Amino acid sequence: MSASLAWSLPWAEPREAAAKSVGQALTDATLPDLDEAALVAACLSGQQGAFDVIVERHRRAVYQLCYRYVGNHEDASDLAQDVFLRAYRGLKNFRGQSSLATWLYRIGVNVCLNRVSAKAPQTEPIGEYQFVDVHAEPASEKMLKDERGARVRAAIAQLPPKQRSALILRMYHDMSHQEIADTLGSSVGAVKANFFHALGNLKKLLGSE
Amino acid sequence: MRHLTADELVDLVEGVALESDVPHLATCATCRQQLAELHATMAMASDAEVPAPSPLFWDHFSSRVRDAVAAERAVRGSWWRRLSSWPGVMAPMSAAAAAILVFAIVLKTMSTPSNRPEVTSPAPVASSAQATTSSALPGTSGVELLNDSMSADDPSLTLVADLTDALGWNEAADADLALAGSAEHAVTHLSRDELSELERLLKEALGGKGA
Repeated sequence: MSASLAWSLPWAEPREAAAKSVGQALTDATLPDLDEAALVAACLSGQQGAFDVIVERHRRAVYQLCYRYVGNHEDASDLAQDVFLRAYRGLKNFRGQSSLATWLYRIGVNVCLNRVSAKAPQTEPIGEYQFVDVHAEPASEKMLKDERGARVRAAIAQLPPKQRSALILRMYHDMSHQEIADTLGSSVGAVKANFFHALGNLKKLLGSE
Repeated sequence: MRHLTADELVDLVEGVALESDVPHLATCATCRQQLAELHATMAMASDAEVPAPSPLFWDHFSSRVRDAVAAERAVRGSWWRRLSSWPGVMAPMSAAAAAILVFAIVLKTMSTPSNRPEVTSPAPVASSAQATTSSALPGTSGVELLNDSMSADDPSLTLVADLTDALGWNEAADADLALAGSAEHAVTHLSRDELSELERLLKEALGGKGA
């Protein structure tokens, strides 16, 4: 995770007072220029558009995280919406000890694990709901790549939840083992072991097809 | 020979540790193969991108989240409005609190031992029992017995009192009535039957005298 995402707001100052002072000085036009701490403060002060900016910044990553867990667009978009709604509810409890992205991933992992434990993932056929940019690369290469990707995603969806979480967060969201451990409430050693076994099982699953 | 652990292999495959720093790899084909497989699997996995949804999807998604958040705000707002409105919520809440308070007081009162009827009622029952069976209870107080079982205005007691005023110790002893101490003491320690018998004897004696 980038160190630039770390909080800089002086939290020693009473939070609500800081939020009000930030909120009063802002307009919707200036919101997109704010850093995360100021955006959160603006949200807490009741600035309507501040949360929209947070959503806009993180929606793609949160959607992709959800998609990797459930393997289909429909569920992924529902889950991503749920992640942001929970984030909105819990924003007042966010202390800035991690980046907003890590905090959103943590919510996302919990939401997704709850979903996958309750419902078997339904991976969708290749091409469904997929936007195809016909100018990007030759169709045959694109099809082969999509096919490989679909196989890998289907195999990841079959991994046990902890292995799946370790693999997804490490490989696709560039989180450190420590951040993953914090997110999953686990140890770095356990995360590394889960990541190692996830790769081993993934190889078996892909080799058995 | 000790093979590389999962932790060591992960560090190698992620580039945290260099292969040149692990001499074991040069001599162990098993660990070399395992490391190669991990590299291959990671390369394959990293190539699996999430299919990009339609560009229109993101606006639609943001709109959905905005609506959900607005609904959340509305729910919170209505909750606070309801709480602050008087008497919309406060009156029923006050009534409920009062009902709970009354219920608690009643419960407390009922559970206090001094107010339990089953605890206090045995006393008079015992008293009346003592009144009827005082001869069988050696320590029973005669005053209590008289007070509980008979009125001081009882004509038979008045008669006994009148008659015993003239009764000497010897006569009482002859009648087997002088149990201990004074005549009053003896009288107050007699049961109703004994008192009746005493009355009969006294009348008999007095009748004999009179006759």
